[in-house]
Amino acid sequence: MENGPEQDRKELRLYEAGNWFPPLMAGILVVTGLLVYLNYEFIVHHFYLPFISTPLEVFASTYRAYFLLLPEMLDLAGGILILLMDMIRPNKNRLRAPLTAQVTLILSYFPVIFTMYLTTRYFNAALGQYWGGLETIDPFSLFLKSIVLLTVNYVVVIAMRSKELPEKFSGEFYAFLMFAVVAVECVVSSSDILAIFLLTEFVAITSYILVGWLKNRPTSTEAALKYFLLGSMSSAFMVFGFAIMYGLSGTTNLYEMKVALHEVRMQDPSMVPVMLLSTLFFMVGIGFKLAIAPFHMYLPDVFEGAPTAIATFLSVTPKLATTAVFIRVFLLGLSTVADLWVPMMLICAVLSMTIGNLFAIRQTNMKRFLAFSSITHMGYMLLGLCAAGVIAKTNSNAAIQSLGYFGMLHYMVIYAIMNTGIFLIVSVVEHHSGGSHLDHFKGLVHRAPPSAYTMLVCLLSLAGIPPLAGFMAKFFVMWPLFEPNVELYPLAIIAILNMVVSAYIYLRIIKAMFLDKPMVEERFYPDTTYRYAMIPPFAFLALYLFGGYLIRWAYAYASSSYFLTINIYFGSSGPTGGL
Amino acid sequence: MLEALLKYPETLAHWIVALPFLSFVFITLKLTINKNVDPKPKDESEKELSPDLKKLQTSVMQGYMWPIIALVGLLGFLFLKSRLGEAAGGISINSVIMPVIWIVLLVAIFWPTNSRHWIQKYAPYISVGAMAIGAIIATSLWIKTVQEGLYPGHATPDTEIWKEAWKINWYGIGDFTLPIGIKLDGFAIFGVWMVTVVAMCIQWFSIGYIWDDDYGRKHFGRYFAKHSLFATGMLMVVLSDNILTFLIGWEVMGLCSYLLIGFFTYKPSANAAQIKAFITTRIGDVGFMLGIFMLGLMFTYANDPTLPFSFDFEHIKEVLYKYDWAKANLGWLPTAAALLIFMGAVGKSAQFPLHVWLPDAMEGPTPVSALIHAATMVAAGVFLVVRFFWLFEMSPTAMLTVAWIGAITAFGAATIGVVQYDIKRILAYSTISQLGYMMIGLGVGSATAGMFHLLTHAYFKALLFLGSGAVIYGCRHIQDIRYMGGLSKRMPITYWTFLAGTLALAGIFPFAGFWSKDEILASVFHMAQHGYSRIVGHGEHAESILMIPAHWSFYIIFILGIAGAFLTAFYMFRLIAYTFLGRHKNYEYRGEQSPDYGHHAHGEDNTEAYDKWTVPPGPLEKEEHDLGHPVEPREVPPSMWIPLVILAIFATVYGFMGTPLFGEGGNLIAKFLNHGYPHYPELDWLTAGLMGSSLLIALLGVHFGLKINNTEAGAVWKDNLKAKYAGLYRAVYNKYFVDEFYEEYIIQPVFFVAQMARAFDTYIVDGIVNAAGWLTYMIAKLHGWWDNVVIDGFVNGLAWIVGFFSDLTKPIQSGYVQNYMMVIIIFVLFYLLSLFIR
Repeated sequence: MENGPEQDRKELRLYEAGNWFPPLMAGILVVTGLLVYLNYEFIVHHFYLPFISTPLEVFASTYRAYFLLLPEMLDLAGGILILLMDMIRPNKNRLRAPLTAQVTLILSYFPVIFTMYLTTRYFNAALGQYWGGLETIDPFSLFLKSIVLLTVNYVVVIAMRSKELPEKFSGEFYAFLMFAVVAVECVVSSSDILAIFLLTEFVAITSYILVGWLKNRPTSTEAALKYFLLGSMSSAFMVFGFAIMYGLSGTTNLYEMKVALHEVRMQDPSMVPVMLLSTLFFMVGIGFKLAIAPFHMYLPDVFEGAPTAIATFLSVTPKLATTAVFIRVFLLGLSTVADLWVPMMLICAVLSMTIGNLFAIRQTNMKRFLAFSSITHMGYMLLGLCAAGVIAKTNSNAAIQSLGYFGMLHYMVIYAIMNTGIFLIVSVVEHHSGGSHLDHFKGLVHRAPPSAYTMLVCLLSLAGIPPLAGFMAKFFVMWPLFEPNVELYPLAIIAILNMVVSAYIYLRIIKAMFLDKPMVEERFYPDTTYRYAMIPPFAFLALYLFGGYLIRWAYAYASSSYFLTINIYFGSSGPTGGL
Repeated sequence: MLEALLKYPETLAHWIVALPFLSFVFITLKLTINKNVDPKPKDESEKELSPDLKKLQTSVMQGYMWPIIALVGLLGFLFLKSRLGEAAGGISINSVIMPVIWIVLLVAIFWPTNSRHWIQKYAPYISVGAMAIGAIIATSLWIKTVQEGLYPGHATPDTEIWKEAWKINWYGIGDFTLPIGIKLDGFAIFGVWMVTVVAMCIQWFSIGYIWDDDYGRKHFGRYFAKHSLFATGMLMVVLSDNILTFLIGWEVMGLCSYLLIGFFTYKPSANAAQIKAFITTRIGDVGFMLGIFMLGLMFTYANDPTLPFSFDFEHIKEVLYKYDWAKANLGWLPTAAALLIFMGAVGKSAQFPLHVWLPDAMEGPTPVSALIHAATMVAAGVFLVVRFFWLFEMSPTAMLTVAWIGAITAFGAATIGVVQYDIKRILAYSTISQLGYMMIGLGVGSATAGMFHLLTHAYFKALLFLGSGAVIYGCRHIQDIRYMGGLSKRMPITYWTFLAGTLALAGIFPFAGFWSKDEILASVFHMAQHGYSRIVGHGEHAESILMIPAHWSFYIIFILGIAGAFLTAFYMFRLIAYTFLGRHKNYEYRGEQSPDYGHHAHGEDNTEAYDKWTVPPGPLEKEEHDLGHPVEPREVPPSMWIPLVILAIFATVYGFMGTPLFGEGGNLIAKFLNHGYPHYPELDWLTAGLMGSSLLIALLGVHFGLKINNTEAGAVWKDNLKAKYAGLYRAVYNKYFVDEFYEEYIIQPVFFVAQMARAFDTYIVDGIVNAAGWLTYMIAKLHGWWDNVVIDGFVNGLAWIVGFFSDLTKPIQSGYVQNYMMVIIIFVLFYLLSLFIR
């Protein structure tokens, strides 16, 4: 056929149809995903374990201690490989480094999931302390590791297509990212204050470098410097707190510290102010890492200055690690002195929720907006810790305590997925409109409908609108507040009021996307990688209500309270036995 | 070679289902994911090729496809074998194959090629390859079964593996579990062998057939994807051990028949046919569903009512057999359930009165017709009755209904087949007729004979349909047999293979159809003489219960069957005479006007010439114009005749499995398709007499078929007969006006009711709704005033206050590091002070 207007129209139609294929595919993938979701057990037993079991089981039983660090070692090797490749043949292919990183990350899922399988099948096969008590491998850490790997996959996806990252030295960028991931993976399984301090510093230092990656952008350098100065100060606080803890208890191991602090307190009540001091200093240090309220000031500047990929990384991955540290230190090492830190935590939670919301109201820069939003969400997340802390002191009711940190974990997982989804869209819009101001989001639904709808679901989920995942997260984190012996009703009321305000701030973005006129009418078509990457957050957040499996799974892992009580191998079947 | 592999029969069987499904998924995803525009600009050199050179190229490509397929299959098996050496070492077979295949599939799906272009061309490699591997697996399973006589119910301690069903828990809520699995009894093993081999041959044939068509070439990938899915559905039905997956496969087939019958989307007639097929079978499916619910009801009656319904065939059977329904005055329940389930079979297997969709389904591509008629769609209905045979056995009424419906269909369809002129329609009516025979066999209690006829029929009917496809291909899409003739010299391979299929269908010794049809007729005779008894209990406790007494009316079924056999032989040799014998009549008929082409629902006066959608506008004329000389019918390329030869071999020798030549103490069919079901009669003088007489009848049919249609005298006789019995001829020619009856008494009244309902909806319901809407609107206006002035004032005030505080606190976020540090220090100091001052 000749090229006439008829043919052109046909081709145009085909092209437009082509752009609707990803949503179609999303449908197929969602169905497949749901099947996977419902048949997780079947899929693992027939498509994963037969493949992996024999060689890995032999390896695992022979070199157990090394095997349990296999994910970290793989990621480390991946980082070094990227550096080496970059050194030998620089700038060969701009996708080489990210793809290597991605493959490494995916490979390191295998040992993580396999170890989960071991822990559930042979109850105590993998559990316990290794490397002289520095690392504890338990369901809790394995769960968090898998989520960490997932988020970093997204970070690499965002970085891979980013325009702002220079192609030069891209290998080093991904290498540093991989090293940061190694550190994060180690942090989530640390059970020793020495390891915690060193590894959080490891994460922080790589983050400083990554934030300041864009040397030509003044805000980036400025952000890195600010981050570095404030981070150093907070580290000083933290190490001071740790020093006092060590002085009081005579040990760095958190399991031993729990017992030792209790004994010290019983024998010498005059030590309580010192304990309080150490707790406060630790709180300052670690609160800075999590960016909760009075220590949050750096976050908007850093998000604004850093490359979008790194902002994504900072908003999710180190926070998962820090959450693990919060749970381990406060609910394990300091659980016997919980009455000292709970008021502090309450204040921080209330301040985070309120300040984050108030500052987010008038923000027009999306990244700053998301920084404040993340501060708010960390405040919500702390509600679970408060409840668990109250219970830890007044009544050692393990069930309610586990409700508390189940809420935290659950919240963090959903928060991670919501935030990666939003940052994904932000990077898409930056890529095509050249900025992340609110104006760039105006009329997004006319310009890139799938992106706009994904963003809609993420935002509504962040606001906690009922059928979406964010609502479930908030529900489970606030549930323990109403339990007997906790009864933190004022806190709950403040949280609910803040949720109302946050609905306003998120609806503001939604209004811009759906009701305002776009600055440029032209449609744009995100890259295929982005389009596929949008599907999982969308599906997960929208369909979460139907997937009771993850709730059960997370609950089984999080409520395995033995990781707080028993410091060496144990023999009980535990709640995950039936998994 | 397959020793190690055959230790895992259920796993292998699972792969038979999985492979075609994976090829469907693969092709569909490839077609869907990748860029929708053909990225390759058309090659200039391709344009310059003359049409016949292009055809040559095409046929060469198809001819070389089979060694490649064979090579892929061989390599796959060598690979499996090498890995299976390790199987003895303890690694399970799944651990090796499953991940490899899944990973390869995933990599292949997301492999960044210009794959839309690629997949359009190479889709058949995938789907035929998958079916070929399935066929190899199924064949080896069958050989193993035959060699070692291993099948459920006869398991020895060495063969316990055969009892271990490949069962998984598909779904579970609380105590309720839903195990699904694979049932490998004789029926399944023979069935799966048939389905894979036939479907492979059909797909292989389709490559050339569809590539020849302009539309088909553009939708090559889509065609093969649907084909694979269709085969998957049937394999699932055959291998299921529970109602649930059976139903899934059943419905998948319904969907695929809809999609494939309407494959030529530009044809309105194809569209109408696909809708008709889907809706007609759906009417039967309603009964099937109700039957399943009825089974659930019975299950709760017979069992503890608190227990959930089990979908497992064996489980339901055990529970239902334990309960004495007659004693509880609930004898109608098994009857109702069996009849409702039979409704599903009536729809799917095109039995009277739901047979109307099958002839219309001829609008699809010919290989699709082959698939529907032989291996998949219609066989599923018979297989349904086989799987629920224990339920039919509980109710004499249901058994009699099955037998009588079968008899009516077998005879009626055979008469219609006699007067058709469309080559595919003749075969379609013969299919309906043969399905009727199967139903007779089942209805008189011989599941063995019914299933045997299903198997032999699948091979020779696939052969006949593919042969008709070859004829249509050769004659450039002419389907009317009056335009053909003399093809035996022009298409020799097609002719000889088609003849083998015809002899098999006509029931001539020693072809496959003879043995199986004779089994059915012998069973009917046995029923008429001795009645039907069922064996209850196992081993020493087994006792025979007379279910249906001997009765003279069964002789009527027998006579109908014999008459049908005569008619079958007659119309098949009429077809042969018209198509392959005599002289080539194409040009003669083209000279005339009003060739009375095709078949029209209203009236016999078909003066409108070509249906422009059924026959593409002048294929011969166009080609002759292009070439500059007349076109002769051509023989098909090797990729199309090799499947024909394979099927012809089956059609010739398959029947011997039903003879005492094979197997010890009986024959293979009796041994493997007989488990738990009553045996059909032994070989004695009576049976031999029946065999002889049915052969005689069939030979008579052959004689008359050739005599009337292939000689001058016969033509005169035919015209005289037509004139003498004009009324009868008219009725038969118009298929006894069944379609018209449905149109007049069912479709029109339904339309009328629908129009009334629409009028009610438009004027009355909508009126009420609109009135309510108006009222609401007025109330909303009032409310809106309140909202705008009072509530919004309040809310906006709040928002203003919040914004005001936000503005107040904004300066704190100054951007100075020292300020940030200050905030932290102030917090620490404040906190400490507040504690110590207290």
